[in-house]
Amino acid sequence: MREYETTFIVQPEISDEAAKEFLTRLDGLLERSGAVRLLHDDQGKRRLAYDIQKFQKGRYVTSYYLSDGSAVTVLERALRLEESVLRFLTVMADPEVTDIEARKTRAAEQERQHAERARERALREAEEERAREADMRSGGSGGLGGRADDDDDDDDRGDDE
Amino acid sequence: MSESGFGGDREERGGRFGGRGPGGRGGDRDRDRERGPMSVKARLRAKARKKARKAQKKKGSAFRKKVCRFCADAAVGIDYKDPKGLRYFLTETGKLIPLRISGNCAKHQRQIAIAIKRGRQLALMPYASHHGI
Repeated sequence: MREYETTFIVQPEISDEAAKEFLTRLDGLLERSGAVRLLHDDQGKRRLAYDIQKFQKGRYVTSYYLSDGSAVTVLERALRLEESVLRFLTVMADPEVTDIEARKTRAAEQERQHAERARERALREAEEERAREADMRSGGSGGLGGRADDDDDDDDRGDDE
Repeated sequence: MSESGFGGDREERGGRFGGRGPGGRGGDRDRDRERGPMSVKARLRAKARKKARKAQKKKGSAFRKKVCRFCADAAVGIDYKDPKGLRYFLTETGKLIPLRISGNCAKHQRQIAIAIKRGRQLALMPYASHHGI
């Protein structure tokens, strides 16, 4: 068995539930094509280095699985047909995995770690969102003229970088 | 004219460009061996090589040998999903930095190049960034 990892970018507007549902659908596909599902690593929303279909952000998910290779075409076909998937890339991570059970237990451990990371990230993002909102409110209450100019400057600099 | 004239020409050339004549430092040196006539370009290249060697010697301690960071620390992996780690090997405009400058060994430079190209496909790394201009 070989280990493959398929990374794909999902549209950022897709809800968490819909994304989860899509992943379970992929699980079914993998199972039916004789592959061993290891884990899905949802890395959350990331900024794209360049626009894809006018999207500037995307949700990155990496699926790890063991297969003799036949599952790759099945999975890629499903990803190609799914409109909400912007891009995908499959890479062989390990040409020969002999101890499948050991790899499975390691994958379960990895999945736990990733879940933990995702929780922390969600908390952080929520915090940032709150901070941004608070900032907006305080900016709005301040004087119009000088404040607005200052904000403009900051924005310009951010875009340039 | 043909044979002797050619030889004479060579001797004169040796005197002009070789600095010392054969056995200048009293040794049987490799560089004193009989050589065929050099082309103009070969002569210029030899001159440039000599100049570069001298310049390097002069610099001495200022010249530091670069070490491949991936050979030095085996714990640092190369992963196409890690844009932060790969950013270092790109110029501001998004081009790959050659190993001559980055100091990577050939093996790791190849892996870096592949990782960056994969990252580009996944929009993790830029193909080109116009902000730098």
